[in-house]
Amino acid sequence: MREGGKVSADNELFRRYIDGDIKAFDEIVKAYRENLIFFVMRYVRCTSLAEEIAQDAFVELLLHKHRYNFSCSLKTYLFTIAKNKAINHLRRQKFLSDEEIDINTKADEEDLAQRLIKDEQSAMLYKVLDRLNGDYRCALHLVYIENLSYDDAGKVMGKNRKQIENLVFRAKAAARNEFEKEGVVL
Amino acid sequence: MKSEKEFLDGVYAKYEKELELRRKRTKMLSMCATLSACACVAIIVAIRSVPDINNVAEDAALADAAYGYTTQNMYSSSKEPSEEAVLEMAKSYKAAAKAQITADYAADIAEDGMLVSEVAEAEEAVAEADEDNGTLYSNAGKFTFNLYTSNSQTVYEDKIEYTDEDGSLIATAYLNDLRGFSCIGCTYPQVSEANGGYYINHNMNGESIVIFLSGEQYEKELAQSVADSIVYNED
Repeated sequence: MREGGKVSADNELFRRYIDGDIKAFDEIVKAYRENLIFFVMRYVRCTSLAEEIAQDAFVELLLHKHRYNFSCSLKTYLFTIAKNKAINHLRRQKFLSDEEIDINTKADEEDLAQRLIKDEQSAMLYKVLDRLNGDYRCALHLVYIENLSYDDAGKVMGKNRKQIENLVFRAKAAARNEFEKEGVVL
Repeated sequence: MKSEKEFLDGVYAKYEKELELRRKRTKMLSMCATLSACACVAIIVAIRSVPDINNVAEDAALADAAYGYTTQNMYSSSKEPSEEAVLEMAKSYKAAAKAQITADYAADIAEDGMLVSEVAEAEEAVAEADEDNGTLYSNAGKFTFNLYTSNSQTVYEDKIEYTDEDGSLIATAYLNDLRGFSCIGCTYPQVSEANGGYYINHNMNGESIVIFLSGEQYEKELAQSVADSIVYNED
């Protein structure tokens, strides 16, 4: 799970940005760019779209910097904005034509996965994420790949802790089924 | 993928573009305040046709804001607006709001990304239910509503029973008496206004259930009272 020290450092960065230090914002982007894109790719299966949505999330921070009240971690806040923007995008553009799907998406995603996934269990789950439904996929990504607490994952997904626990439980069961289909017994 | 620098440059470019749009919008709105109500409606229409402002959400939110601003201005001025003027404004507003999505929904998008996600999720759920040939019922001719859940559901003449993955009964919706609706482990429902109706969005063990109320006789109070009347069994 996320260390408190990192959260404090992020908050400090954001306070510096509010106080007018634009370089601090650059550092925030640098810290979360890849994670945010990787997360948005759970919703939109296209690198360039995921990048656009991640950029929009950062623009939201620039435009409404005082909306962030430090009641949750900056990471949780950013991921919440990105998730909302991804869902809004999907809603407006229900179907994506084949031409719009970036052919490099899979390679980009694998590249990000290699850089961002550190432990074996997360790597295993990542292999079957695409085969799970949206909520399951999102919950597992936040908890196991982003290492968010259940509470923080709940904030991102707009659910309470118990609901996230249930979602993760069911998602893991669904993932287990997927592994079993491949003959992998966990 | 974009490089880190390209990504960051893109963020700032979008930020600048957004600021410019806002400056234009503010200028337009300040002009609106000096004009009569009818002229304002014309300006709203004009704003809506500005190519740069092609985002439906912001577009409709703008109409919403302009309307609210002007109405407020009308009431705060020494001249009390005539009933006809207010009625005319309301009609214009309704017409503008019908553009693609309702102005209220769009305003939510523009104002608060948190709320819109719930509405969007609700709409997605309803859309999925419709796609899956889900439920659409007329309730005693008063209003129609959709009920959606990702769990299995069995439809009877007067009720819908929801079952969990293992077949256990987890909720029952009585079609003629929503007060009888009960489920386990719900959070308090949230009522969102959108698409000419009201979504009551609540969760049951991590699964979303959406009730959509619409029709001639809907009122926000009615939607809220339905939401309030849902009985929740504590887990």
